[in-house]
Amino acid sequence: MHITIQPEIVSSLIITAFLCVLCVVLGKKVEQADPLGKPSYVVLAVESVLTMFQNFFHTIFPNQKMETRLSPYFSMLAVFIFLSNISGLFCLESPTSNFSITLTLALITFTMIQLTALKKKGTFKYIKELIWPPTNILSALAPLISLSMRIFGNIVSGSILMSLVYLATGYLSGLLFSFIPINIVAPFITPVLHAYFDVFAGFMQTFIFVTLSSVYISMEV
Amino acid sequence: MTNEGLIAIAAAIAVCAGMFTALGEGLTASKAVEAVGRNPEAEDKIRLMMIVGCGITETVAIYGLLIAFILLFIF
Repeated sequence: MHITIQPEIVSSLIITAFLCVLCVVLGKKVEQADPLGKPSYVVLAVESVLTMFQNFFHTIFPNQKMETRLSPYFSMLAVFIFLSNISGLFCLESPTSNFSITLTLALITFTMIQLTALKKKGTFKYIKELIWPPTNILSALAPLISLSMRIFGNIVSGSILMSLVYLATGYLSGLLFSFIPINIVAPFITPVLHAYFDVFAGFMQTFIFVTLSSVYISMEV
Repeated sequence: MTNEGLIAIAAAIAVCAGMFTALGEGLTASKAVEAVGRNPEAEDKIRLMMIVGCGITETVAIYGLLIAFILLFIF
């Protein structure tokens, strides 16, 4: 039997463990905080991030019940995807550059869309609207492909471009400064590209993924 | 006989779907900027609509990318 352990799976497990520990520690800190006193730096940071998420989801979801039920999941999803996208900066393989993981994230959204539609319309009407006219099957499957391919394509193309830039700068430094054994040109060029491809594109893709999933779900209600 | 050169050309043609997508997204963003200029207090709603519109427009480019990936890695 041949088992391959993909490095993206390992790094996604590391990120998940890190998030679990972080959430437990921060939860303890917030519980112990004095609600009337001056908040400490950590508690203030957690509160402002949480308020940001609440304000954002308040503009998307149509009613209060959905907001309270779904916004914790989407907040955690946003944190996970953002950490995965920028994990290339911390010597981990970015989990979102593996299609299995993005497909899993999109499958969760897809299941939630279909379940919400099923709950809203009832079984008979749901099946009727799903299969007639037959193009509706395609439009039901479209979010699955487009959501997973969007984030995967962006992160993979970013990492391919970065490795090409590293190859080119390595060649250049070997040509110009052949007396130094390491790649000396790269530190002058790549930080800007890392800031764009990892941090900015990662943040934008997280924002778009979370916004589109929540909008798709709230369109069915 | 391998057709690697032809496959590479086909993948490049498939990615050309991004050309008009870029045009469409630019139009979306420019219209959103105009709308915010006319009506600054509706900025949150306009931003949300722009992101959704851009996302749906981008789907075409993503299908092109998907086809390019299939051509490169599966054939």
